[in-house]
Amino acid sequence: MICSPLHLLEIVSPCTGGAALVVSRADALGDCPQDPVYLLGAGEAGSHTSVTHAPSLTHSWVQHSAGRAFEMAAIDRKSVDFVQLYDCFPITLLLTLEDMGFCAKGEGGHFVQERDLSWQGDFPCNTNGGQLSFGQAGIAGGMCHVVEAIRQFTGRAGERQLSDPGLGLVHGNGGIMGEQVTLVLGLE
Amino acid sequence: MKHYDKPLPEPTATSAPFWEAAHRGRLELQYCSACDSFQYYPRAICANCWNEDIQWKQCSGRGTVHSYSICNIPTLPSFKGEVPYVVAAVELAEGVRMTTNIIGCAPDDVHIGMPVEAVFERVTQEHTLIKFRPHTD
Ligand SMILES: [Zn+2]
Repeated sequence: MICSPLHLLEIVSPCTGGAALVVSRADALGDCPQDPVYLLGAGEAGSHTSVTHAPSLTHSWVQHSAGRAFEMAAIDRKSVDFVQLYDCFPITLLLTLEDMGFCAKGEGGHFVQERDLSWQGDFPCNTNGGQLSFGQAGIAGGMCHVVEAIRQFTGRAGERQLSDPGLGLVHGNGGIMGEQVTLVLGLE
Repeated sequence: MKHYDKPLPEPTATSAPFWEAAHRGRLELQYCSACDSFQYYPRAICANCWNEDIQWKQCSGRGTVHSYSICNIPTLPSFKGEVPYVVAAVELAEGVRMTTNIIGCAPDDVHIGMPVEAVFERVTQEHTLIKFRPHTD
């Protein structure tokens, strides 16, 4: 036990790294050698810096950021083929799933237990292993999830390649569970 | 006074009244009379209604443990001698929450909802930290 109730393997390990992607207007792609991935929806919400001052410790602002992203993309959460969720601690990911509406409040644990989260599973989640597997590269950490989504869409995910992903969901959080950003990405 | 090697508050113009009051053994919070609400941490304006005319008010120093964690492995080496210690979010009677430590009892005795009261811990000649201990009527 490091700090109750978190054990060693439930805490991201700091690491060094970076992430980058190229963003362009859809009509300015030119002779880009690679098929583009489209940003279909984005939502942002926040209310505090430290979680101590959060209006609620159990209901995060993910519901607002995800709601805005789904609305902008005009999609239902059920139609996404895979999710890339910010994972500094397992509880962060569980709260995110609950507040996005994938399951009822307090059911996040059961939800992931009953599903196969691997790239071959019925709910592909963090197909690159996530930060809990390979570490958190400071503020570049959240970007690893966008990069993995782009790899999946462009067929560059190697042995963990999903078959035919059409819609993906990426979520990041900043501050201390204070600021939430959700993206809906797709191939068309 | 023995050498204190943990991080110390660095008061700004906005937060200085809080730390000065703490050094005098008082827990003072910003109060907005326009919308009748307290706020913590200190800010230049009322975060609720944006009123610029906010006052400092002495508070009861009473509250309850909203949530907590028992730290066994500290982030900074200077906290090594303190483990296990309790980091808590205390909800004050005035309705705001503070990040603080619970002292004066075994970490395992701390529980959510536990009534607590402020303790003023003078850690250097210039600095006093506000911590909390169990309170019984
Ligand atoms: Zn106000």
